[in-house]
Formats: sequence, C-alpha cells, structure tokens
Amino acid sequence: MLIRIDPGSPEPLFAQVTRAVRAEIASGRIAVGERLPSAREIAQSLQINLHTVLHAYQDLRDEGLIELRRGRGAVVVADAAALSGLRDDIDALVAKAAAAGVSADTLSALVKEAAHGR
Amino acid sequence: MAVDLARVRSRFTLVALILPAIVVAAAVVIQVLALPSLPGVVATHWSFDGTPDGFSPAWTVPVLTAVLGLGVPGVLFGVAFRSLRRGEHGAAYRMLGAVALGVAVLLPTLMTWSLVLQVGGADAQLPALVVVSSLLAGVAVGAVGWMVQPNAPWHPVATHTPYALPLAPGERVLWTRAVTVATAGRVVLGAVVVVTAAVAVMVAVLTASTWATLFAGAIAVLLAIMVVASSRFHVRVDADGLTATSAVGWPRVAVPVADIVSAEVVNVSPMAEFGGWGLRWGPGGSPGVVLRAGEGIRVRRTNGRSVTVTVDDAATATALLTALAARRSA
Repeated sequence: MLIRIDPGSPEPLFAQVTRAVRAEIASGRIAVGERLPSAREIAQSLQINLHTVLHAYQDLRDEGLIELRRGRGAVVVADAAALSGLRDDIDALVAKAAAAGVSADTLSALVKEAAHGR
Repeated sequence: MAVDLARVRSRFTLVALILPAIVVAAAVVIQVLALPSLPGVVATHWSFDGTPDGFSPAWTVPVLTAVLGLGVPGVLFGVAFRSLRRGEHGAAYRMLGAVALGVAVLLPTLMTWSLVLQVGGADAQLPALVVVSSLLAGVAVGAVGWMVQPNAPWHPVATHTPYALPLAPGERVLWTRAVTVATAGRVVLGAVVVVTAAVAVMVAVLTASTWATLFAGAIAVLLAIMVVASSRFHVRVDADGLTATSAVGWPRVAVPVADIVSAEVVNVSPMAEFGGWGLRWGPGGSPGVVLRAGEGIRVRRTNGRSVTVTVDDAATATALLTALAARRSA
C-alpha cells in the first residue's frame, strides 16, 4: 500500500489519507480481507497525528470500504471489490472527459450530482 | 559468461541420483551375498568404544541401506531439481549434489563394512578405523561430486532500470507490504524442524544423559522459533528508509535513508543465492529477507554491502527509496 501526503497542500491531511487508501483499494493493490497498517504505524511513519489517521479510517468505514475491529485493526471488506470493479469504467470516463475538454472538477461534480439524483 | 544449464542439470542428476543409486545397489548386492554366512541376528548399533549395544535381524541391514542410501539423496534431489528446471543454478545446488553423493557413499560403506566384519559369527566389535574410513570415503567422494559439476555461480540481474518516484518538497510517503514464505521454503524449513525434533527424541531415548537431551531439545525449540519468526515479514518504506520486520516483531532488518546508495528491483533465487529461505546471509555477508523466489528490493548501502528483501510491488518501493535518498542528498 502506498500513501503520499503533502502537508503543504490545502486539502486536509485526513482527507489525503482517506483518498490514498481508497485509491489503493479501488486499484486492487489491497485485496479484500487484507489488514491495513495500524493507525499508529501510519501516524508515526507520516509524522502526523494519530487522530488524523483514525479520522480517515472512520471515514473509510462509513463509506463501507473497511471494517474497524478492536484488536484486529482495519480490514478491507468485500464491498471494496465492487469499487475495484468500477476501475475500468472510471478510467474510460476520465479519458472521455479529458478528450472532450471537461475539467476534473466538473467531471467529479457531474458524477456526484448523478449519484445523488438516484 | 552464459551458463550451460543442460550441463548443470545433467551433472547434478549424475551426482545426486545416478551415482548414489549405483553405490547403494552395489552395497545391497554385497550385503545380500553375505547374508547366508551371517548369524540371524547381527549387531547394528555400537557404543562410543565400539562395543555392540543394539542388535537386529541381519536382513534389516540391506533394507535400511537401500531406504537411507536412496532416500537421503532422493529428497535432496527432489528439493533441488524443481528449482534447477526453472533455470536456477549456483553453489548451493552444487553443494546439495555433493552432499547427496557423500551421504550415499558414507552410509552404505559403513553398513556394509560393519556387516561383512560379522561374517561367520565373528566378534561384532566395530573398530574406529571403519567409522573414520567410511567418513573419509564419504567426504572424498562428495568432493569429487563437487568437482564433477560445473562451476556456475548465480549472478542476480536487475530487472529494470531504477527510477525515482517524483516527490514534492515536503511530501511524506509510506509504502507497506507483507510477504509470506513460499511453499517450497515452508516444506524445507518444516522438514528441518521435524528432523531436529526427531534427533532430540532419539537422543532422549538412546542416551541416558540429561544434558545431551536438554541440549538437543533446546536446539530443536530454538530452530522452530526461528522458522516461525521468519515465515512472515512486514516490509515498510518511509522517511526511516527500508524496514523489514517479522510478523512477531523480531528479527528486523533496516536500512536508514542516509545509508542508501541505490535501490533496484532484482529477480531473487533464495536457494541459489542465499542457500535457503528466511532471514539469510548471502555472498559477502549481505543479509536478505528471502521468503520466496522472484521479484525483490535490493538496496546498496554506503558500507559496500547490500540488503535484499523479496516482496511484491518492489518497483514502487525502490522508486520511493531512490527518491528519498536523492532528496536527502540534495
């Protein structure tokens, strides 16, 4: 698993961690049932606050991507498989948007709107 | 220099399988021919001063000679040949072949000699000369087995040119991945633990010495702990550099970023290069966490040594290590 965070970026640190882990799950680089590194380990490695990582993990749990269990840490759950299944479609959509000159922000806003409209 | 793989394999087969089979067959023929002139029960175990202290029916000796004489080289051959067929080679395989032949000479020689000495119901004393001579014969023939095989050292190849993952100034990274010991390693390490435990039990049964039993037992337990401790590792790349920690917390191999000269992806062969699986020391005393064959990280250190860790997605890890080292020295 690869997590990159940039403290100089305007995006909050917890959101950067959430995004990195979500991308790893979606790409299939972390398999279903695999255990994520402990929040403490991530916090130490990236020199960020433990609560920042816990915040990110709670967000991922609320999204239904991971399960948090006392003593067992964070485990990727089956639902994440659906996410990696979307990968090809997303790649195709992004490529199509780029070809049509639609910006990344516009594309994500459109996707969000479509998802909420259902 | 290209390695003649066909020659490596055919000579290994000759030394580890064909020659042992011929030696064992000859020994069994001699023993069977001697059977009619032997008493029904013969000495098969001797104390340290050569006095017999164990007896078995004479026919068990050729059976045991065949089983041990063919079994030991057979197992060594089986372990090595699959890897050799995959294209591996190196000093460790050459050594396995030599050991297989040496054992196939030592055991049958000793057993045949001790049996022939008892022809006609003679005194069953086993002179030390017989044991020492058999041992020397095993070592000498094993050495010939070493020389008969071609010298084909294993040179690992970097599988792609190293590149640095572009890092923003101040960007922080963490890459982690776990690696578990491969089936081949599990089988071999498990067999070693079982054999050591069996030896400990035999020592306990055969000797009256409490100390010898404790010693053999301690070795068996220590070995089992080491095998378990090195069967799974967590590999991490971050601001601390490269860290490989056993799933039970120990042992641990680490290279700080300041000590990294370069990092590359290599194709690792645990047997050929490190002589086995787990935490091992390769040529030049360079440690390796080698739990399976295939892709791995190799980091060259400022002290001239290297550290090897077999792990998936080694390309990302080495690109990060390269970038971290470059950022530090910039």
